[in-house]
Amino acid sequence: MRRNLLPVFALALFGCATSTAGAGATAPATPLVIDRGGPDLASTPNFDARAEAHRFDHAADCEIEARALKASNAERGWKLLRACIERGDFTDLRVLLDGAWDAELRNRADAGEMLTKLIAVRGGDIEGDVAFLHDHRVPVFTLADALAQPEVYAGRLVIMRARVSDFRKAGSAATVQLDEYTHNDDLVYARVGHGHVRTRRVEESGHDGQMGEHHQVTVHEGHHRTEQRMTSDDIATGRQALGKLDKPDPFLEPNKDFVVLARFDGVRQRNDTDEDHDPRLAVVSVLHYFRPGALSLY
Amino acid sequence: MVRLAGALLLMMLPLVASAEPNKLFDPPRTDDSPTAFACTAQTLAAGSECVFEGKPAKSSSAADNSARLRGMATTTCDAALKGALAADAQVLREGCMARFQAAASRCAAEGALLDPDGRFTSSGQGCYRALSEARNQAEGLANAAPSCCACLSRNHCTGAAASCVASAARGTLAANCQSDACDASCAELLSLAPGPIAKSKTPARARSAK
Repeated sequence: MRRNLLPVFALALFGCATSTAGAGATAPATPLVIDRGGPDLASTPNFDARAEAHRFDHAADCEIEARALKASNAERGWKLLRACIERGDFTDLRVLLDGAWDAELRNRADAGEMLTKLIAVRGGDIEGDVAFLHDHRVPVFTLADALAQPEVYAGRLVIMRARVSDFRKAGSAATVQLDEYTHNDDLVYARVGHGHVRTRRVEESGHDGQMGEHHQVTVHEGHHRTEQRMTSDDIATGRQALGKLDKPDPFLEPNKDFVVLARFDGVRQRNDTDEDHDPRLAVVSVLHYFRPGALSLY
Repeated sequence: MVRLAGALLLMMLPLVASAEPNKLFDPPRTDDSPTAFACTAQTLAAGSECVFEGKPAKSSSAADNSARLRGMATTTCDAALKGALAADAQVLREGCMARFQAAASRCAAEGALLDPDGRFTSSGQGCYRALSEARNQAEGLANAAPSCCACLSRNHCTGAAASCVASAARGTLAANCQSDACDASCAELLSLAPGPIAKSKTPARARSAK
C-alpha cells in the first residue's frame, strides 16, 4: 500500500506530538493525508479508481482520500468515492452527507445510484436512511410518502426495499410488480443446547390456624443456556408498485430483495376490488437497484 | 479463471434499469406512459390483475361502446372455457356469450371507456368489472357444472336431466334431491345461480333423520 491516511483526530486522541499538521489539543476539521510517495492521483495518466479504492484496508480511509483528491481533481475525487462505495464495505452515510460532498450530490447524474448502493450496503433500512437524507434535505422519499400524497410526490424520487412478484411485457412496455418489504433485525436471547428440568416436591406448612396445615407443592426448575442471537424479519408492508423498465432485466430476479430507486409517476386504480388491498397501485420508473447487505446499520 | 474474472466484472457493473440520467435535485417530472399491466381485452380474457390507465381520447356513443365491448365476448369466453369438457363446450360457450353480451349492453354508456390502443380508462372501470364478473361466472360454471350434474344424476335427483349442464349454463338449473350428497359438488353453482337445487324432505327421510 503506497498511500496511507492518518486522520489527525486519531493522533490527537493518543497525545502524539509528531503530527506535521501541528495538531494540538483539538482536532482540525480536515484529516491529515500522509503521502508515501505514490503517484499524484490528481494528475497521473494511469488513474484507476477501483484499483486505488482497493488499496485501503478500511473503506473510511478510502473516502478520506477521495475527499482530499476532490480538492485538486473533482472528477477523480468523485470517481474514487464511487469506487470506495462499490467496494461494498463503506457504510458511513453520515460522512457522505456531512457537507463535503454536497455539490456532487446535487449535480452529479449518478449521485442517486451511488446513494442507493450505499443504502443497500448498509442493509436496506429505508425508513432510517431516508430520515438521514431528509436531515440533509436530500429529496428522496418513501413509497408510503408517495402513496399518502400522490400529487405532492409526483415526479419525485422514491426508494424502497422490494421484491419482484410479477413481470409483464406488452408491446414495448416491460413492467415488474414490486411488493414492498421492511427489514427488521432484533437481538434476542435464544436457548441453546438441551438444558434440563428438575422436578421436586416440597412440603409446605401453613402458619395460621391452630390445627396446622400441610400440603405438597410440585416445583419444576428448568435450566438452559441462552445466547444472544440476531434475528431478521422481512415483513410485507402491503404497498405495491408497478415498476416500468426500459427493457426486461434478468438480474432483477423474482422474490429476492432489492433496494430500488425509482421515480414516482403516480397511482392507478386496480381492477381488483378486494377490500384487503389498497385499491390504488403506485406506478414508478425504476432507475437503479441493488441487493441489500446482510446486516442493517442504524 | 477468465470466466471467474468475467463474472466478477459483471457483478461490479452498476445495475441500471433506465438509461435516463436522473439527478437527485432535478425538478419533478413524471412519465405517463402506460405499464404492461394496463386493463385490456387480453387481461379481461385472461382474468388477470390490471390497472386502469387508458388515456381518455375521443368520446364514443353508448351504442358504439356496447358494440366494441360485445366484440370481446368471443376471445373472453374462449379463454374462460379453455378447460371445459368438449361435450359441454358449446352450451357453456353460448351461456358465456349471452352473459357477457348482456353485461356489455347493460354497462356501456356514452364516453371514452377505452383509449385508441384498447386500454380501459377510468371511466371504463365499471364496465370492465361487470364484464370480468360475467367471465368469471362462465369460468365457474364450466368448472362446477359437469361434476354437479354428474352428482345429481348419480343421486337420481329430479330435474337433472340430460340438459343439466345447459340449464346450469343458462342459470335455470333446478333439481330436487332427497339428500345433501350433492351440496358440496353444487356449491359453486349455488353461488352463481341461487337456488338451483332444492332438497325435498320426504316423510321417509324425515323419519330416518329422527
